[in-house]
Amino acid sequence: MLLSAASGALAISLRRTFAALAAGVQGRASTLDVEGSIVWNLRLPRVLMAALVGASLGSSGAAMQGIFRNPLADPYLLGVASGASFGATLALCLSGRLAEAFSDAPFAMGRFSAFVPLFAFFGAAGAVLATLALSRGGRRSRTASLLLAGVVVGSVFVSMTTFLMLRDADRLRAVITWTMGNLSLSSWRDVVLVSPYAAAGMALLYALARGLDALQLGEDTARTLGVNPRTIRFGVIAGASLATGAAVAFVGIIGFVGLVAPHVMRRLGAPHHRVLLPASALGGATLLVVADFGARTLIRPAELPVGVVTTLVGGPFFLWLLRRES
Amino acid sequence: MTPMLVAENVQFGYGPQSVLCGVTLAVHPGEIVALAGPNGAGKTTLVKVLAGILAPSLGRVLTFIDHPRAIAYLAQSEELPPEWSVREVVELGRMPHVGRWRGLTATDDRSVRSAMERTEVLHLSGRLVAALSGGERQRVAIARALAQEPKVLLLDEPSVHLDPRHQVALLATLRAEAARGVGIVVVMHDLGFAAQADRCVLLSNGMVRADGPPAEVLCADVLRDVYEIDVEVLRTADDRIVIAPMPQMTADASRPIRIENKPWNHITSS
Repeated sequence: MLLSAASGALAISLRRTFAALAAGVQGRASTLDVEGSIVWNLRLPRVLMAALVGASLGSSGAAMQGIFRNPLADPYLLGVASGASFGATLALCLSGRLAEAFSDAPFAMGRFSAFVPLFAFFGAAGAVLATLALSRGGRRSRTASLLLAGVVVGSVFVSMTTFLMLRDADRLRAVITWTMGNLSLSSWRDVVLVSPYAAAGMALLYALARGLDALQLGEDTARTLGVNPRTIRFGVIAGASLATGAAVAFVGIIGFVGLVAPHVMRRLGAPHHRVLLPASALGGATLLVVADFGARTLIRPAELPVGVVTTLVGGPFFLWLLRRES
Repeated sequence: MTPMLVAENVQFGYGPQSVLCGVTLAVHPGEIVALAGPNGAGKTTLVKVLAGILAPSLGRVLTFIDHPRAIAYLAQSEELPPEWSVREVVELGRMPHVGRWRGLTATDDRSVRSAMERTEVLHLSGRLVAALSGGERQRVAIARALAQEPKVLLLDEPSVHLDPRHQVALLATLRAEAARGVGIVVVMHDLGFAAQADRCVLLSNGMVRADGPPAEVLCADVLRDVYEIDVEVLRTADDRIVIAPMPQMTADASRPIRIENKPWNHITSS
């Protein structure tokens, strides 16, 4: 994290990074010089944001894979991401600030309003509830119909978001940057706004860890072990929506972290959810901090959207993992 | 003796199709009840209703035990998470005892070890589920149910995938559980195995066709009626029951098939 804070378009020595950190922690941020200020005001919140979002995605991914007993599940599966981005966009639309948000690219939606993460959460939860409602009563297996409904709901929300964006702003490049995931404008305020959602979401997931373990034996057996599968499913969906919804609102859609982090951790021997959830959070955080580090340094002084890095690296890595498994 | 678990006139259906049409069954402490019957008779559904997984549409299930989670249930070919170790799976059986946060105590640890010993999977402790054979997997699943230390044990075809040695061992384990006062319901297709239970219940088309000691229930007339095949019921010198199904009669069964005349017989023998 330190190395990441030290690197970027302007290389700053680790020693100076440390000094800036120390000054910031002691509340003397206003006394910092330019370099120090870059570390404290720009890079550190960015790194923290990456860690926070990575942790949210990692643990949500692990929990989602747990309830579906499917290793391909990820936190965006049931329309969480598209719902969240729709909620965030709607919040900006309603407050009439969408044009302003798009006026400078790249941009982060979240920094315009404290309501954005809240709307993102409701968007995410709404999408998931729509998915749940649509998947009911079909003749297919519950998992299959949930996945199908998730795909449909996700697409609908994506098109609604696109509609809102194109109606109010014609800055397509900015929209694309956001869709690919972007950490570049994270500020201290953003970190403060996101952390309660991320913390609440992850805490909820952690409280359900034992139930998730029982669910691995199938719903029927879980029930006889005193675990209500419905409660677990709803809880996980709520927790994952909470954690990833806020993340999406601020940094856009970052793929593969929620998919890869739990896999790596499971492979490292942490199949229990009580270990797997925190481990995946840690893994996700590490992964995203490293990816963001890469995004800033690979084509220095320009920057790549972090989502591009995670997908470019995550995709082949995932394939390699799958091949090794078989 | 007062029963531990009673199904009273239970009816159940998946959609419009009714599977159980008024089943009454009582499980007493210390007895092994074998539940048999043709495919689709409603055996699995009945066990799920008894386990409280499915709620009957009519009738009721009464439990006379102190704790509702003192019922352990083993699903037909239970799903086990492949990347877990054997020990971790068996530990799940302690879930009703440890709750959401507490770790395993020495008591839990003893139950887990004992269950694994009884099903002979202790040596597989650290092995991953993915690396187990079908029979080993089945024994791990049984160990998980035993580790729960239930008052009532509901097993849906536990002997599937087990070799004769482990089938005999399973029966001995169930006997030992019953001796400790556990009431046991076992779904099984192997009638010879069912004959060794204390009581045998034959289910057909969602109704109980026979309920009583194996020697009475497993007689040729009843079996012909339920399974629509001819069987011979034999007794060994030490009074064990052997069920021998007869070959199915076809319209021209009286005419033996002459294999020696088939042309390919010559080809393979030359």
